[in-house]
Amino acid sequence: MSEGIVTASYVGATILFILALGGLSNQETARRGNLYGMIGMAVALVATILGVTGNMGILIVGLLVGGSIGLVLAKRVQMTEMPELVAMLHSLVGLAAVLVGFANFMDPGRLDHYNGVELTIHDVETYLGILIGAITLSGSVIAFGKLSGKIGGNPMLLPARHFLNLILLLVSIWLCKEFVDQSAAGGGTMPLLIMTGIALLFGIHMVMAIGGADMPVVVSMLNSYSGWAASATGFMLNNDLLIVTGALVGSSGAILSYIMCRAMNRKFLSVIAGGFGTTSGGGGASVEEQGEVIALQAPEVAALLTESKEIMIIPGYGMAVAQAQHIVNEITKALRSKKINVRFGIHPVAGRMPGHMNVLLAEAKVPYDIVYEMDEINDDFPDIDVSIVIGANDIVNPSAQTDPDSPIAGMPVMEPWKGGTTIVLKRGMATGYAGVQNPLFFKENTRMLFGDAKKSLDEVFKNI
Amino acid sequence: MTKEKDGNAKVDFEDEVVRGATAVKGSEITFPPPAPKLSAAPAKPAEKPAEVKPVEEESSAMGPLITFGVGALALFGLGAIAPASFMAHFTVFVLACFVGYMVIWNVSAALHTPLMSVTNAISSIIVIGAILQISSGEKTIMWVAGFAVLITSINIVGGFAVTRRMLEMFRK
Repeated sequence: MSEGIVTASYVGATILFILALGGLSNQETARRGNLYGMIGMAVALVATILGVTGNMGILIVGLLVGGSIGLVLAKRVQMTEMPELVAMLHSLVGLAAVLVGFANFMDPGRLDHYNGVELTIHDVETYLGILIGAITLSGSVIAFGKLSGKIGGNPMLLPARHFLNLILLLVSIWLCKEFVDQSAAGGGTMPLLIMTGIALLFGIHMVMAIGGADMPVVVSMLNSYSGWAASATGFMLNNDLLIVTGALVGSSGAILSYIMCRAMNRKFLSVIAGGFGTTSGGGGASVEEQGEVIALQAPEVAALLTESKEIMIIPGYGMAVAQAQHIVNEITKALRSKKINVRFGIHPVAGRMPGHMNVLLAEAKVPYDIVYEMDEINDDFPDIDVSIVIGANDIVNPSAQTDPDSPIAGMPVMEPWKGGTTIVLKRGMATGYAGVQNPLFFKENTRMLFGDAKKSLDEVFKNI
Repeated sequence: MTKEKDGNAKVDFEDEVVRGATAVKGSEITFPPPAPKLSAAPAKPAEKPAEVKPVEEESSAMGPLITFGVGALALFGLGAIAPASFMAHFTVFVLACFVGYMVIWNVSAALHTPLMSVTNAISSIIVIGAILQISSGEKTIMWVAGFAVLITSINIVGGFAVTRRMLEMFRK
C-alpha cells in the first residue's frame, strides 16, 4: 500500500479515536463512541499490517493469542476488580513501550537513517520512550499489587526519599548524555540498560510511597504516563498517529488526576511525594470530643425509610466490598414503587478509581438517571429526609469543613448532616482511609446500623 | 517530577496549565507554528496572562507569567536546535494535547472508569510500532516485536471489550 493511503488511514483512525473519547460525554453516545474506537483501531491495524513484509506468522499468532487473552480477561473481571485490571493493562502499555524502544535501538539501520542533530534527537526520543515506559510498567505492577491487596496499602517511606529521587533523576539525565554520545559511536547499550533498571526502581519507589487513599490518583496518573509513553514512542518512530493518540491519553489521565486531587483537596505533587494515610496522629485530637452514638436495628431503619419522602444514598467502596450493591438496588426499587424519591450521591473519590461507584451501581442495574455527582446534589441535602451512608467515611466527614487541623481539612465532602436523619451503615467504629475520626457519627440526627452492609440491608429489605 | 518523566518540559506545561484554563486557548494558536516563526512566540505568551488575569480567580499574577515565560523560552530553545521534521511532529503533539484537553473535560464524571479503560485500549496503538519492526531480518528484534504485539493485543481487545461491557450496564 502506498505511503499516502497508510497516512490517510492513520488520519481516519485519529479522528475515530477523538470521537470515541468525545462520545463519553454522555451515556447515550458512549456506546457508539466505543464502536468508533474499535473501528479506528481496526483501520490503523489493517493499514499497518498490509505493509508488513515478513514474519507474518508471528504477527498473526501474537495478535490472536493476545486478543483471546484480552477477551477472556474482559469477560471474567468483576466490576469491583476494575482498578486492578486497569492497572495491569497500564503495565502492558509500559512494557510495550520499553520493548518497542529497545527493538528500535537494536535496528542496525538506525545509524544510516539519522545523523548529527537528528540522531541526537532520535536517541533522546528512544531514551525517553523507554524511561517513561519503564516507570509506567513497574509503577503499574506495584499499583496492581496494592489494589489487589498483595502488597500492603500503607505507604512505604524510605528515609531521605526525596533526595533519593533527585539522585535517580540526575543519574538518568547523565546516562541520557552518555547514551547519546555512545550511540553516535555505535554503542550505547549499557547506559540504556542501566537507565531502564533505574526507571523500574523509580516506578516502584514512587508508587510504594503512596498511601491507599490516594490510589485513584495513582491509577489516573499511570493512565497518563502510558499515554506519554506512547507519544514518546511516536516521536521515535516519526509516527503522528502514535503521537496524537498518546497525547490524547496523556492529557486524559492528567485531567483525571487533577479532578481526583481537587476532590481530595490535595496538591498533585504532595500525592506523588506520598505519605498520606500515615498521619493518623491528627485524629487523636478529636477523639476526646466524641459523644454517644445512637444505634438502630434493621426494622427501625426500614420504618424510617418507608415514612420518608426524599432519600439520598451515599455509597462508598465499603458497599462494593460487602457486595451490597444488588440489595441496595432492590431496596431502591421497593422504595421507588412506594413513590419515595430515592437518589444516589457520588463523591468523586468514592471507590478505588475515578467513576468506579457509577460502574458498580450500573452493574447492579441502578438506573443512571438517579445517580448524581456530589456537585449536583450537595445543595439538596436540607430537603432530604433520610440519607443512608453505606461503607463510606472520609467523604462524609464534617471535620473537613470545621476542623482546620484535620488531615482532610478543605476536602469537599457530602453534607448529609444538613438533612433530616442520617443512617450510617458500618462494621464498627474504625476510621476511614485518612485515619480521621468522623464527628458525623456523633451528631444527634445520626443513627448507626452496625454490621455487614449486605446482611443489614437484607434485613432492612425484608422489613420494607 | 512529572516534568522530567514526561520527557519534554513542555509536555508538562499542558498539564499544569489545566489550572489556568482560559489562558490556554490563546496559546493554542500562538504556540504551534513550526521552527522559523518561533522567534515571534515569546512575545505573545508574555502579554496573554495580563489580559486573562481579571477573569481568573485571585491567584498570584506572577504564576502564569512565569509559566508562560519559561514555556516560551523552552520552546524557543527547542526551535533553535531542532530540525524542521521534529518541529512538525511537535506541532502535532501540542495540538493533540489541547484537543485531548477540550474533549476530556466534556466527559461525564459517571463515565470516568470507561474513559480509563478505553484510553487504555487506544494507547495500545503502540502496537503499530511493534508491527513495523516485526519484519526485521534480525531474529532478536523479531521476537521482541512479536512479544510486544502479543501484549498490546491483550490490551486492545481487553480494553475495548471491558469498556463495552461496562457501557452496556448503564441503563435508565
